[in-house]
Amino acid sequence: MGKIQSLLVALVVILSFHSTSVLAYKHPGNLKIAIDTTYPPMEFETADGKAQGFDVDVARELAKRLGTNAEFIVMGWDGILAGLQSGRYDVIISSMNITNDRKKQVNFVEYVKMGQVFVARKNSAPIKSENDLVGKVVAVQADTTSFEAVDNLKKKGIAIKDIKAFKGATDTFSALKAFQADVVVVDEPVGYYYVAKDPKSFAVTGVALNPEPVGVAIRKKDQQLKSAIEIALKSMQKDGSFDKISRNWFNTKLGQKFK
Amino acid sequence: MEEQLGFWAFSIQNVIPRLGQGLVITLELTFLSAFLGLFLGVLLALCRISSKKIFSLPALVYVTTFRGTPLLLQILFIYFALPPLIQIRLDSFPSGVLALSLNCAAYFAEIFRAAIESIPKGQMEAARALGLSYVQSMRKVIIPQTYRRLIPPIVNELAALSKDTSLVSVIALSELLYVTQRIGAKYLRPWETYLWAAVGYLLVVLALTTLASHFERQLKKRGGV
Repeated sequence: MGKIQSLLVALVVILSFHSTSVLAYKHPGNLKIAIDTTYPPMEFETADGKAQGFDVDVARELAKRLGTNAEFIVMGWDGILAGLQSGRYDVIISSMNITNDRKKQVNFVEYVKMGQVFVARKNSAPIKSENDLVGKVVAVQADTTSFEAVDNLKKKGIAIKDIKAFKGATDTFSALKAFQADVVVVDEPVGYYYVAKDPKSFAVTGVALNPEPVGVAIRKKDQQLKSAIEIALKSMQKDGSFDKISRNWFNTKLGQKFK
Repeated sequence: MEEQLGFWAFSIQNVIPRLGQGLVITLELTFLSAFLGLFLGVLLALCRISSKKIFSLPALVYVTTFRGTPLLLQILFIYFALPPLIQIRLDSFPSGVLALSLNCAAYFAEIFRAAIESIPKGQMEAARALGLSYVQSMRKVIIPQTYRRLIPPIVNELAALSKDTSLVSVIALSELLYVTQRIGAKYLRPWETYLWAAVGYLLVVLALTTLASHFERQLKKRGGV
């Protein structure tokens, strides 16, 4: 008994010491970060398989401020939350929208806001608003905010012909190009990125959803890590390093209402 | 959503009904592709054993191509690459059926060819000597003898086919595996969902094997060789 008690006391001392000095938080080992690399320019792979993108740069800077290195673990979107719960990594930094459903499972620290846009084929009739979706086949990535948004529109009574939910975001653009879909609903940076890559085929034609918060997902029990990340992200916003990363990838700040 | 449902409540309310819908699509894919694949497979096998190059060479090229490239690639090619290439746009389900039938036809062709070639040459010679034409000899003498030895490899291929249908999930067709992954991601309860999906696939294969042993018994009764 005495042993356990002294252990508990030690634990309390350690915890209270840490809570008074979160800035000095040092993450044990590498900060393991899950990303789904099918989402350029937020997170994707270089030709030789290295992780890159806006989130990757943010994550590297964040890890540095927690006194460690970033270690990226590539996960499919399907299992990315389950993997966090089962302890395969410490955080998810993969353009994850903060939703009420997800908040029940994990904690979030917001770091950016992103909207959703319509991307259509350049030569087809432009999709400007949700009413233009009538009779159209819409492609989205499965289990994403875009999917929910389109699904809700359909439930609201907008006569969408079909919703095709693909595993990867890249597939939605292949489907659009292959005439398997008429419009893609996707996060704004991803939409702009693909349009910039293939401006002859695609065009951003409208706003589907106004900017919504995106966050770092952390297990509920990792309170300390959460407050450390909050502080680190705030300092990144303050000293301009966050804006620098943003300008680097988008030439602008994310989450502004376009047009 | 707040309190966790128990295993059975969760399974019965959220998992099994939706997996059931997926299973129906999986069954449709399996049986349609099997039917088309068997039909095309017989044709291919007959071409393959023909002594005329004009028949045997294309069949050989076909079998080599479809056995030599991944099924997943064939599915993606039909769905994503055909529309811009030759203006043929097939929706997810027809794309899936087409890819699966073309693919399994190649395997069926080899099964049929092996079975036909396993019948001693003397049989064909005897039939021809009795005045039957080539087509008659095939239909009346050779092919009926292959039935019983065909059943095990065909069931084998059908079982593989029923599981290969899961590959079609990549083109957003809501067959069993696709539905499973959506539910798993939605409720974050992977093990219950994947367990029931496994049961689903097992049921399909069990149904196939039961059907096969039924046919085998029937053949035995009728005195098949």
